Amino acid sequence: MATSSDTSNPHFARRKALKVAVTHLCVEAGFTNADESPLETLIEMLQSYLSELGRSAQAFCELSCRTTPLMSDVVMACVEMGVDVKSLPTYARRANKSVFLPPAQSAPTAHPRSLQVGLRKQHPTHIPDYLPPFPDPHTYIQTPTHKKAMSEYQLVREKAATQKRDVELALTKFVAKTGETECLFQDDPYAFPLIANCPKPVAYRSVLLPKDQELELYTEEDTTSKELETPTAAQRAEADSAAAQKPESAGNSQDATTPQKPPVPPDPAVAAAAANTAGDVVNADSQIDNPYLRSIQMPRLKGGGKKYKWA
Amino acid sequence: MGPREGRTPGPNLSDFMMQLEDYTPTIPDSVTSFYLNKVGFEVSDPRIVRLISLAGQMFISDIANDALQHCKMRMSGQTKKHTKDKRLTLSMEDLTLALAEYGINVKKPHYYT
Repeated sequence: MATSSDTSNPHFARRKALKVAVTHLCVEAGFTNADESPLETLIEMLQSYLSELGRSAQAFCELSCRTTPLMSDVVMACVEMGVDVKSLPTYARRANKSVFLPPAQSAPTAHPRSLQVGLRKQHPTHIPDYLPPFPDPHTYIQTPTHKKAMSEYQLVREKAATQKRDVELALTKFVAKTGETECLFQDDPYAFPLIANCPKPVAYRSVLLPKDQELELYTEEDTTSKELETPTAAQRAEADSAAAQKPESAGNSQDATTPQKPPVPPDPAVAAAAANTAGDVVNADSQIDNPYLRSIQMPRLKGGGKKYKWA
Repeated sequence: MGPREGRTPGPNLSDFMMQLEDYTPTIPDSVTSFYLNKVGFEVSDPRIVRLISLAGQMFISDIANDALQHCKMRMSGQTKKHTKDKRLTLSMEDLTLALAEYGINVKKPHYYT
């Protein structure tokens, strides 16, 4: 109770009023000063006395099957507490009674209306007023943030067709701009580019061969190129299944023809083999030199006498 | 020894209740109602509330009077001056003595440890 602030805790306000009343009574009795401790004792006693009277009176009232206490219930409670009921009127008429007006009840602090949006809904008639008000309407009103997707068949069909056409158009434009093109008009090569048709000599072969490993496609192209990495070709040939005989023999024939490459230890070659699948595409093009895909070149040792092993 | 006048306080008090309409006890009605509501006593008639507050007042007044008597006894015992010191202070010892007569034992520590 001591932790709450005075304005919010109703007990403090009433306690203060009791203190004033008790002080009045002490002054009436004849005291001029009072210590804090006995005063607090008297206040505590008064509070518990009033509470006990009320509780006892309510108990008497309920004993006779009523809910609202009457004067007789209060009198019975007083008798039980040991109050001399007959002297009550005499006491009331005493001369030097003092009255003090209690401080006016301050209005309940209105909550600052921060971040209120819109008008709050009023209580319906069946809800009493002491219950809290409704929250802001934006907390429970649903407003969709997007347009509902079309579900009519015609519109969906139209949309699918439009998308398909757009995708095809975009894809053909992309291939035309990045790949080989044939010109429709002689004077203006960029006007209507057509994707160049590259017919294969044996057209049916690509269809018949299994395509689950793309390495096979690239190995065919590599047989024609001259700069070929020997261990990679050999290792790839090991990994491949059927139809790898031709590139393997071609790769082995290249061994003798490429003396410039220093002997590469097999360990990095295994790691480089995975990268070489993409590197082969690059080598076939032979125009882009990817530094990450070059072979490892060891630097030369300076100082002839020392011979260190390269890790 | 005739019959005691008004064996039951009924008639007196019912008249007294009429007078309570205008009477304002020292303890305000709102304060008393607060404590009564706290224990479950709810009444719409303010006279009953005033009756209870009067009873409480009387209780405290009696104790204060007894404490004053004790204080005066103390003063008369101590000071020998002709004019007694007019400053009567309600102290814990006097209150303890006064309450002991009511059967209430009060033991408060003198200081905080």
